[in-house]
Amino acid sequence: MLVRPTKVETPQAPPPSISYKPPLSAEVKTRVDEIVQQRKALHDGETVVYAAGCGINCGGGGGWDSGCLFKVHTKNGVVTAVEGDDTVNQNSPREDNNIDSVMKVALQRRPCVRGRAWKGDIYSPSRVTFPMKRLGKRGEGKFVRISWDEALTTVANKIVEIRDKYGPYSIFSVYDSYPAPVTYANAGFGGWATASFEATAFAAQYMTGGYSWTSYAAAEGPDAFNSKLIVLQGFDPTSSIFMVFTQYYYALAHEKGIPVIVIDPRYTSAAEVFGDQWIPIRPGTDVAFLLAVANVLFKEDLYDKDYVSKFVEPVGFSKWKDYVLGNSAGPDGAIDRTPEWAEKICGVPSETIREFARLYAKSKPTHWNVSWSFARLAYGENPARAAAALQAMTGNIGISGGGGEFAGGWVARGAYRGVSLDWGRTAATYKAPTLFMNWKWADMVLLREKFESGELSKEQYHSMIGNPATNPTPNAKMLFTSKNIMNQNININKQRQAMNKLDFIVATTIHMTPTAKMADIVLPVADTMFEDYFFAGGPLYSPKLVNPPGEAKAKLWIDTKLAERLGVLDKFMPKYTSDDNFDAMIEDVYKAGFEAWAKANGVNLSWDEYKVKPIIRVEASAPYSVPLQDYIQKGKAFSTSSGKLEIYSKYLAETDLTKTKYGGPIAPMPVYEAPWDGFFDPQVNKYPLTCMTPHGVYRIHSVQDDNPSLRNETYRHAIWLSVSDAKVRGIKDGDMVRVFNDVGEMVIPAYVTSKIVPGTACLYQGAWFEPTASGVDRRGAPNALTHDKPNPSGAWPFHTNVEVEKF
Amino acid sequence: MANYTQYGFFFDQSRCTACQACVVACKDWNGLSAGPEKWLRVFSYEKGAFPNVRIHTLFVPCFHCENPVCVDAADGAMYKEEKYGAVLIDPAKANDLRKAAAACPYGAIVFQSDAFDAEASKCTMCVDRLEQNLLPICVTACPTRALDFGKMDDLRAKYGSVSDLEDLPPSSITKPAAIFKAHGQKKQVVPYDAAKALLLLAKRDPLPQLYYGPTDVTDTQGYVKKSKPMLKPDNTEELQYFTENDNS
Repeated sequence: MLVRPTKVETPQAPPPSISYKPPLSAEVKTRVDEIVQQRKALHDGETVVYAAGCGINCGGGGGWDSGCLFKVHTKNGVVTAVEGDDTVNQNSPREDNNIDSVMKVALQRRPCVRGRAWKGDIYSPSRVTFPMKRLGKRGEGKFVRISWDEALTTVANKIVEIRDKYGPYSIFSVYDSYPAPVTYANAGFGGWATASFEATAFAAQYMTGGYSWTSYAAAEGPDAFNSKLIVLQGFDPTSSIFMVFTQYYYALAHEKGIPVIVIDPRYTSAAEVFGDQWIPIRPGTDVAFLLAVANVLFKEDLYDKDYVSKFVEPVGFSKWKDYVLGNSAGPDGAIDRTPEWAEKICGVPSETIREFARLYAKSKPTHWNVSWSFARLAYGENPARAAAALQAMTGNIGISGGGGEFAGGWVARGAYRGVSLDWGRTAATYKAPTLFMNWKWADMVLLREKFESGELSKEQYHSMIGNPATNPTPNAKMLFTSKNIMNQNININKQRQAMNKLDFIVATTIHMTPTAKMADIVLPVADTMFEDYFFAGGPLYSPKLVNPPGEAKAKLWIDTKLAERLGVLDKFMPKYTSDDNFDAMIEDVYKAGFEAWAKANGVNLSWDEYKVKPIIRVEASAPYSVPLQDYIQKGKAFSTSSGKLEIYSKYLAETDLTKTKYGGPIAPMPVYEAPWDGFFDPQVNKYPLTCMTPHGVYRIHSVQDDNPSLRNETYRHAIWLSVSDAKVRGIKDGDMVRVFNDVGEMVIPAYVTSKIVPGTACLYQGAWFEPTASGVDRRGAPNALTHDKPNPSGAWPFHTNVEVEKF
Repeated sequence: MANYTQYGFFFDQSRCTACQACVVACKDWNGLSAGPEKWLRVFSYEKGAFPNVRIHTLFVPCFHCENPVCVDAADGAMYKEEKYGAVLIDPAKANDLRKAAAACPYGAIVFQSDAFDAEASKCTMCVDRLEQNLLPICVTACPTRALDFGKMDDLRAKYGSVSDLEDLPPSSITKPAAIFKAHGQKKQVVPYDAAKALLLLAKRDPLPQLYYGPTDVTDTQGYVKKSKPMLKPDNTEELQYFTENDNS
């Protein structure tokens, strides 16, 4: 029975009190939920896939630099967001809270800021999306869209035309590889000398007998904790990110109380975060510091005689000892290389050098990472070899906690086990010769006239471009480039002249770089996330996630279609049937490669499982692997003629190097030679600031310079000036300044800081050259200011002297 | 204020390289384009003079304060929610938040432009991710693992209870949900005589002297501008200048 309640008069409830802070009123709670739902909706309907990257010049996999893993979100055919690796230690952002995972290197492969910004780069405004041909002058950037058919047919016809007219040594690439089909068409030649590590590899070649870097580069991460002293000389792993964990292990080693000394012209982030102490040094003077350390070790009898007698070739060692002690002459005479001698050159007080040497001698093992950077200058082979000689005389090569002498950082176990892909190719019968030093390519083109007119003999011409006397003579007419070579190679203006002499330039490119602007045909290429990739080791795989923008195509597709037009498809890509099957064909090859790799390495994982989580972690454990351990711990003979570490090279001493690819003499052992374009080059009377051009945090070489998520967003590209140098020129931070020398000029902002040695400037490499009509760079490409004077060892001279004035 | 759980951030200044991976990750995840909408700001600035110079870094998202003075000043356009203690802007009421922004001593509320009625936005503590049992994107992004996130009680148990850091406003004002570890002192592993070094570095024999007295190097006044953070910039241009890194 329904009883009507007695109506009770209740007092009117007060109006609902709205509380915007806890405890929230119901109304606000509802609104807050709506706001949270709105935020969530941003990623509704996305597909999430793991992928390795960035693929361009950094690339995952450990074998090639970083080895990061991305978790990529895509929707409606575009990449929408990038998260980092969460396949281990999920929800544990500070992974060292789980020290076990640190000791096993079972860590997240977190991308650095460049990887985090990858979306900005792949969709940047300068992305090339259609094949194009040039309309305006070279460099003007005027192009018109054409079809793939027209582009490829034009390129194929040019290959045949130029080969038939000028012979096989007319088609080339600089620090790059031209499309393989050119080789199948019996043409092409290449160059030698690598920008990154030529001097360090040179040191490795003459001291250990093997030109290589990977096998010497790095120990497993936790081996850092076995060091008693860590020295980082010219090495900033927070910007030169070599293997994703390297900076993390340095940070942890520092926190464990292992002393870390940073020797660098700049107070870097590494000096701040990992360093106990910064020792400022003038750029390009490291070899003076190193020789003085050796001098103290010899004089105070502090080196490891037992190790030296076992592993170092004795005759050369005593020659070097004589040189260091001033008993024999170097290029600048017989000088006792004391700390007092060195301090006037490198600017480090002699007391500091001496005490450093003593500490070093008693801190075994010492990890002394000199990186590659301090050897990227004239005579760069000297510091590279001197650092290794020191680590040899103190017995720090090939032992746990030591190393670091030939480069690199720390890696994870299994990093170098790569997957090989079988495309079913028939090997080309034509073998492309190496006919020039990469960074001398502009001279190869520009001096050709003088050679033809007889002004230069064949021998002279060859010697000036890094080509052995007995080799054929190149006749460079057609350039293939897939890198921003003009920007990254020394002396941009000379290269522009050389490019204007060429008959034809083909750029296979992701972005409209300064180099691509010089091309006759521009072919838009896909990159990571738009095509399948295996990275060098690991292995890490990056599947094709979405279609590339516009008509950009995988490099392999471009090569395949070129092969088709050259009539060599059956040899180059016999598995090709049609464009529709292209992606499936690639996946088949990758799948087979992976399955063979998995079988050989005892990895029990199917391709389909691997594809969705394309990373394989092999846990590390003590004893951790260290570079060159087999030679020291197991007594394997080095590949040198003596079977030992050689500080002095008989070959370099006794050979007429002018007839070889080097084209000139190279000191047989590490000695002090003041580099040209350096701190003591008399040209400083006109251009008083020695400018370094190191790696920055926000570019992988020149990659990502046009990324709106980075450029003028997270960083300002400015030239570093010390306070005293700024003051004398009336320059304040933020002022626009003119930076110039005899080869070029630019106008960019100044960054005035106490973090750099006086007399020095610093301009991070990789900014894209953007000249005005009169050739003034508005964007700050360091190579607008670098000279290309030959350096026989092949080390790229990236330092230069400049003057700076208020604009 | 009771009956809610406060989550917060841990920032280890001694590990921060100011690379801004966290900043980029924040914008990437939250769909923010390049420009002044910097929900997370990382400052990098120098103190001291050559050769005794230090880099200081600051990680400044919204610290989702326990005493959110911005909420009090927002006229109902902002809330402090209860599940995580996140301070949120109501996007429907985001055009009138200059007063709230002025109230925040950390400058956490940012604007799309310098127009007076420009739309405001700020760090949401990634509540959308928290709801999916994921961490705020910034803390997952740090290459040196300088960041952590969690319930404030848990963070205090792990990292102590310091909520103050040099160059940030005193924590007593707003009670930020943050724990900090300041960077440590440098030491001389080997002796280094700075005065002697300044004399040595002035000379470049036989070429001309580089400078004439130590103060040419050490008196930085007026020349070095990035010697402090700028939590409360006057405009978007100043915000950009002080949040740009110069390692590139």
